[in-house]
Amino acid sequence: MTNLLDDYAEIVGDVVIDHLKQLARPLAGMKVVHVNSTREGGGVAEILNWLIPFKRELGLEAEWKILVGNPEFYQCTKKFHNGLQGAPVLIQPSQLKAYEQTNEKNAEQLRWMLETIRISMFFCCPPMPIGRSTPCSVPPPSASRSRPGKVSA
Amino acid sequence: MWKGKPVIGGDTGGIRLQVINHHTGFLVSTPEGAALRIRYLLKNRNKLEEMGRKANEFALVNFLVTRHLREYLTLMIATLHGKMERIEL
Repeated sequence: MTNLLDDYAEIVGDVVIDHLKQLARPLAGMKVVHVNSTREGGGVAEILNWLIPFKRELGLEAEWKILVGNPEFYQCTKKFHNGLQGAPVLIQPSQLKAYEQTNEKNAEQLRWMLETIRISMFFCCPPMPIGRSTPCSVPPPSASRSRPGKVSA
Repeated sequence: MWKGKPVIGGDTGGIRLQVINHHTGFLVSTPEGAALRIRYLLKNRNKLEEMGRKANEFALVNFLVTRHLREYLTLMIATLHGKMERIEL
């Protein structure tokens, strides 16, 4: 099995890897779920493709879940992105409805996980899944975060 | 940058966070500006190598997944410890 930490130690040096191990020690065994909207394409998917195996190698139980939506849902979240970065956007009622419906549908699919598995942390990457916090009735995990640094629940 | 070369990029958006003007590369606003910087670097090989070395170091420290991972782990630890000012690991 490839050892990512050893491979990276050759690039970044042992000090950096030791630092990561030290940080991960108190987090060992924690169940962490990352949610975004795609496994391929875009910076978030690229990062998670590496981040999840790294976290697992450091002893965390990291999972990656995908939010599935229709084109109207993505048109709406794209406008969220652009609006958050300062562009004037007009979100059509139908797009907002698609956004809410998609989040409700995906919340149902993740409800089982939230209700039966003790998740320590829940990370939402970009604004696609933020709406989920509304329809989910189970107690929230200890942290939920949307890039960059916005706590959403 | 990772390949040890200075980068000439547009003076806009996220490129400004990667290219530190006159250190890891040059920020430009026009094709003519880019051409000027290319000519400068080709004529000043020492500068090209120095900026390339800085670009590589900057990428190593800031743009590898290990940096991202360190920040995630730090965030998680900080979240678990609430408002504690000092956390002993």
